[in-house]
Amino acid sequence: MQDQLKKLLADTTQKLYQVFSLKDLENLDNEILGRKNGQLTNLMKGLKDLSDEDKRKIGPLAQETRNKIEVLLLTKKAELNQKAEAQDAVDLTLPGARPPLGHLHLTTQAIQEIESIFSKIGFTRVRYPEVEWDYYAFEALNMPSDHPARDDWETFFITPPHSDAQKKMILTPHTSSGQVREMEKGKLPIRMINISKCYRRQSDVSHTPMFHQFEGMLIDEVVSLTHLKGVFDFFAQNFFGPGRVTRLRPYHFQFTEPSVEIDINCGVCFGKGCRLCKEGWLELGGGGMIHPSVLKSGKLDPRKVSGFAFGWGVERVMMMKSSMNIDDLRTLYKNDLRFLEQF
Amino acid sequence: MDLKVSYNWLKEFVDTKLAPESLAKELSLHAFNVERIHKEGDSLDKVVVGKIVKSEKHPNADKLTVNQVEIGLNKTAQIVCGAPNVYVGMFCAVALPGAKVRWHGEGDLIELKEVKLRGVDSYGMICASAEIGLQEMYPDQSGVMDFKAYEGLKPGQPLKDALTLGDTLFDMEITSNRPDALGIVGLAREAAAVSNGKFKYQPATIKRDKSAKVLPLKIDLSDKKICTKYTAFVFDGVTVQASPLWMQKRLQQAGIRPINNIVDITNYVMLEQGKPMHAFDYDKLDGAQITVRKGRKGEKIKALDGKTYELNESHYIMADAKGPVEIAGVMGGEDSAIRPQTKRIVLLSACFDALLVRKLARSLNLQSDAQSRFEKKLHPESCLPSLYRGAELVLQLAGGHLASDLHDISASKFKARKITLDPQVVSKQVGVTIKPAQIKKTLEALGFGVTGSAKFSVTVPWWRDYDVETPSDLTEEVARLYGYHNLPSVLPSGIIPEAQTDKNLQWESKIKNALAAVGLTELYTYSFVSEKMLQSWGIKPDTGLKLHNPLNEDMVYMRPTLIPSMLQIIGENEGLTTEQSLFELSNIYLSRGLQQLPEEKSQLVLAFAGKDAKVMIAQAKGVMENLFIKLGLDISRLAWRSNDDSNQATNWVASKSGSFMYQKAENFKVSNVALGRLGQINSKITAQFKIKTPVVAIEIDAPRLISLATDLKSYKPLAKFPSVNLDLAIIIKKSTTWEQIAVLVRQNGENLIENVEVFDVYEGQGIPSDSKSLAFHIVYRREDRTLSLDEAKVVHDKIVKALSTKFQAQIRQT
Repeated sequence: MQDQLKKLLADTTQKLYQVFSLKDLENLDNEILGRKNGQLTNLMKGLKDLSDEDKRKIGPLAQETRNKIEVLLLTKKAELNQKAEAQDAVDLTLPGARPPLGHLHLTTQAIQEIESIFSKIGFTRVRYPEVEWDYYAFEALNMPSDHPARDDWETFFITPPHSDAQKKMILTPHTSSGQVREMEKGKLPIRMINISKCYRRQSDVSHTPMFHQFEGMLIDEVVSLTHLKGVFDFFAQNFFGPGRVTRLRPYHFQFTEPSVEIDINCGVCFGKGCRLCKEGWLELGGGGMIHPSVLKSGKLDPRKVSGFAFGWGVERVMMMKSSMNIDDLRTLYKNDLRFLEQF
Repeated sequence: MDLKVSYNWLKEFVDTKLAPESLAKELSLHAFNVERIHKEGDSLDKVVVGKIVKSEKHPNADKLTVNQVEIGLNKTAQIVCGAPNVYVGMFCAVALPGAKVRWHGEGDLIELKEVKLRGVDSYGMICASAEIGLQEMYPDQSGVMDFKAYEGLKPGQPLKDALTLGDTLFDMEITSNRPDALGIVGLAREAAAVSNGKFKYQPATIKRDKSAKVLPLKIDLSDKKICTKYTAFVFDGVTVQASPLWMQKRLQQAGIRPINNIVDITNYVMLEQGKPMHAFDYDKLDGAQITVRKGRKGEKIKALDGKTYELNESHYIMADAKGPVEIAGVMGGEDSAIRPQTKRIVLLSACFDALLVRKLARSLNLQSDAQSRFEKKLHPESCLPSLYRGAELVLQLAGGHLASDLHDISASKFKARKITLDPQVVSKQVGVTIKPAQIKKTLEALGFGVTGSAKFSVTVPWWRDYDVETPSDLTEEVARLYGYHNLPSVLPSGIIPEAQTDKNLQWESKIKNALAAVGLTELYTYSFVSEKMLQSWGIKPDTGLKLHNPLNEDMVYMRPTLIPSMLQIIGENEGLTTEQSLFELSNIYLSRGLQQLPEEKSQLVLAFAGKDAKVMIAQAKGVMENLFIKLGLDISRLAWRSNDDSNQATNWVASKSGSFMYQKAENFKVSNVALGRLGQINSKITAQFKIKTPVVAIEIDAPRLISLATDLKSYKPLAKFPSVNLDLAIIIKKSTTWEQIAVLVRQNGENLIENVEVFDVYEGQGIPSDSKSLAFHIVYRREDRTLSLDEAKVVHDKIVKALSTKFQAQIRQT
């Protein structure tokens, strides 16, 4: 049987020289490997009549022969196919058959990136009400009802407005309304990143009535301005990449003390000063050490804990990163597919 | 508040060697941001003073003149000009060829060339202020610039020299907590502190000649709420005339129009001291008296802006014996204004309550430089320094003499605040060690008094009385002068909280990624919708959450469903693109009355447009199934039920029956949790959004979907034995669902069936109209041994029989 197998392999090799078409090949395949009367099939059927010792010896050889023949046949098939294909020119400059490509909105892309950067340094994403009590948006943040600074927030009110200012329902104009809510959870330390929709009564080329902010807040036993700076820089370097530098400078916010603004060098002129920037710098956003009154609103003792907070615009940092120069920010939420499908 | 600040003026009060750019940088880093730096006259190369010696009509153009302009000693140029205000003898600004100008004050700078204008040679251009970047200082737009007020101008002299334009101006943003820095003096104090320069301001003092006659003036502070301090002097024998050019120029730099010396002095002092002032014509004050009081119904005042304002009890005014002479802290009246013939004046500096001034200005819809400063909460102690400075300037520039003692009425007496400051705590808050001596020096440079050693007792000067109240306010002062930019950047070292990210937030992100991965485009639509949009979806507006002050009528209600917004976008995009496959995952808002905040929960809507409805329904279901698989749901437990109201998941739109909204729709649940519905939107609704083609949508209650999501993986061992795959094609009534067929097949499969999979559905030619043709694979397999074809065929035949018995299925021969 050993010899028969060897001979079959040699014969097949010989016969393959006489094969010139796929049809010839199919016939040969049938002659040797066919289920019913193939020469190899028949040989292998005889295996079961052998002694156990011969089975152990011949079995693997039969299998090996089968493998070799299969490879020979497949190789010949490939050879024949290639000859056929050579006559069939392929035009690779034709467009590919692309599966449909989906698009996440630019804002989602930015939010996912922001969330992932802050998660690396232990900030957990949270979300708080968009329709909010006046108390959390203003009063608890050291901004009493008659405070002129409240004019800066062009706030939407839910109708009918409650006569008691604190019980007014509003659309939150900033993510800072989550600060005291987070403190009220009563768990320290805190590292939160609150990303949410915000609303202000403004609509022009650089404002949309609905926009997004991300609010970072860290509260612990010993927190200083250097930590705030560390976190700001960490974000800026990760989000904007190398080649961009930041600077902190004084500012004023009612709910932080000290308050700062962070600038990033202009991505267009790289700090020399141009039409788009302010003497080489662009404002990234504000922040500061949480005002003692705000900590008290959150039932925390300013003598024992301290912290910092910042609230920046998602759309703003996104625009500053990409230098897309979208001339009208409202385009983002117009949802023209010709726009959305570019990203 | 944004200010234009003159570098040269600052230098009058501070000794610093810093050049403008360096000083601007220090101010930005330590005090207030300098947003832009303007070099005065920077664009005035080749712009000179010219004198028009001859002016004739252009031969070929009605509106043009041909002028001979002297532009140097024995040197004239012919210049064609279109301005109406040229005349012989006029001194004007001439841009020579090579100069850069802005045509009509618009667009980019363009280099001027020698040209022919309608056939006449023109060598340069006679300029209006906007054409050479001087519109802010010289806002008069009635024609080209006319320098008749200037003395000693020489033709050919560079314009920059003639107008003494060597200054640098800073655009600064002064934060709302620092009204003390709304004047040059306050800013100079900051500039000195940030540049280690010497602050050399000296408050003005004046002496009164006791022999001079006193003019009586009665001041009555009947309302101490609005007016916290009132100070005044009376002058006699003043000469009202134009103020000197140096003063006019400073006003012009700040965008204030010069009027006469007295009015200019009040404005100049406001810019210098940050404190508004006013001057009355003494002889126009009836009864020589001023009362600060509430308005009375029927009273009117014609203000300096020329408009008449009707007053009532909610307004605050200054009045003489007859009636109103000033809208308190906002604007003076025209009747008592300073005129060329005025001889006797009342110069006053008063302080008004910030909030009341703000309300007053809002209710009259009237703004002024004074009001915008008072709104920032000025300190009563700011009255006297500005009054003395004003008085000094009146005597210098308008002559006359002081004709009264100091009038000084205060609502309360000022007592400086003292704050105990622990220098150690400052270092702790800032995060670097700052020596006590440095803290002391810093605070003193800003005008704070500092005593004590281990702990400081800090006295707050009046001008910081309102914004420095606690030790952390002092820390801020120290920190900013130390320089935030000088601090090291340190990542917080504390322990990382154990908080878990909200499951909803985690999975929302995964849902979005999964949908984008199968070709859907994500929308972000506004959370507010119009009343019409609500109604289109069968929602009664009165159940909605309505805005009190919407931006416009398209944005009135907080939406309780995303679908109308989605339909609007589909409508807007129809015609721009062929196929639309969209999704949005956003919050919806369900009112719970006014005592409770609304429920905010996320909704997922998928929508398809631009293709045949049936194709899109299959696509929608396929996308949804893929999403479910991605989220780890068991889609074998996906079940359908025709629209009915018992489905909790769609109760947010329960105000109308489902058939109103959908032509065909079915609710679905997975693992017995109702998740939403899928169907074709009623064309009566899509028509309202101007959509011409079918829209298929899926609404999913996202929190419910996420409640089923899991990232636990389970493993199914791979089959060890080969399967037998047999196909079957049947013709069956249309009313028989695939689910019914699949269940029957499995029931008769004797546990040999691994999978049943449709590969073709056909209706139409060759098939009875009430029937459809279905072709499907059945995969038979045993797990313990190889299944023979014959064994499988026995079962297969049984299935065929069951199908024909139960559903009268006809077998198609394949």
